[in-house]
Amino acid sequence: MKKLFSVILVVCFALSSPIISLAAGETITQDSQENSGNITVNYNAGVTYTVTIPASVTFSDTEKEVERSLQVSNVVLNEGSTLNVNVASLNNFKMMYGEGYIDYHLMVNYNDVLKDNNHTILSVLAGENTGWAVLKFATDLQKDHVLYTGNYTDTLTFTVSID
Amino acid sequence: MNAECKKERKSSRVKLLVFLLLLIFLLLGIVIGVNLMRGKKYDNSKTDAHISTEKAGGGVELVIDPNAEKSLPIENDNILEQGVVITGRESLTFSANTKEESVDFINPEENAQLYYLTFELRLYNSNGRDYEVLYTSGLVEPGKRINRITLSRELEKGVYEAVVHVQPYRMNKEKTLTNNVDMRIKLFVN
Repeated sequence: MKKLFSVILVVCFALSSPIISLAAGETITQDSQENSGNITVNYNAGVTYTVTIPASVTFSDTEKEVERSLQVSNVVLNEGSTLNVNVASLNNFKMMYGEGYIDYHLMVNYNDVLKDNNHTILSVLAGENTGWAVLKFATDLQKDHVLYTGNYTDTLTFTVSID
Repeated sequence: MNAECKKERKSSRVKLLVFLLLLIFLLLGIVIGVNLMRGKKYDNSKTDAHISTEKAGGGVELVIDPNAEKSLPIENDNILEQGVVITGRESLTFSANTKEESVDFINPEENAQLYYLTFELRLYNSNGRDYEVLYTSGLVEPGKRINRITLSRELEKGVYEAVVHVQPYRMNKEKTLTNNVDMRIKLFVN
């Protein structure tokens, strides 16, 4: 038994010795003739960005508040520039069906309540790669102005500008 | 000395074997006992009077209905919905006095199976409200791009305030409109 154990130990040492010697800092050199030269590598990084907008929001009798996010990523800007995202509602924050409507409002990052158009809801400075905002849509589903059954909708336009 | 040692080892092995056998018997006993108890319980449920919401099959052999389909999760837009991904640029550069131009209007792969995109190039008037449409694309599938466009008219040299209006559509039968994006750009015409 002892003999077997010692044989195993010897084999283990024998196998591990090359690994130890490499780890100890053996220098591997490229055996080739030395050549030198210059190469200029250029990449013209134009101004680009990716924006992810909420496609839509659906309210129901049980779901009167909906949270979504607005994200901007892969932002490459000129030094000193700012990427701004504004939001505007087609029907001034009313879901419309014919002449009937249901009011709703939008909160940005749990703070400002937007009831009219063209508010800046997200800014990303040059040098920052990403930015995001939490958009909380809410309605009390007041049906005072609901005239007919139907699908009451609104459309949001997110305007991206670089200033 | 060696013989004594061997004897001792043998006896200890025998003891270990006996101990293991006892342990196996004990475990077997426990398993059999538990099964017997279960069987008794099952019998009780058959004979005892009790209130249950379960209803007997009435002697009819019940089989799986082959017409039953796999139930799909109830569609809730707010849980399932993924945002629309749109890539933008700050400017476009065109050549003067030609209608054929190069652009890079992309529908990213991230919109796969979700959204088509259309692109409209709008040239804004000085009042900032009215605009002229220079180009409108058809539906662009996810992962595809438009590189060559034909403008509605030739442009003179100069720098123009323009907007690339991106309108997503759901990739469903109705091709439903979603919220959209206006990308304000500088249009350089050289």
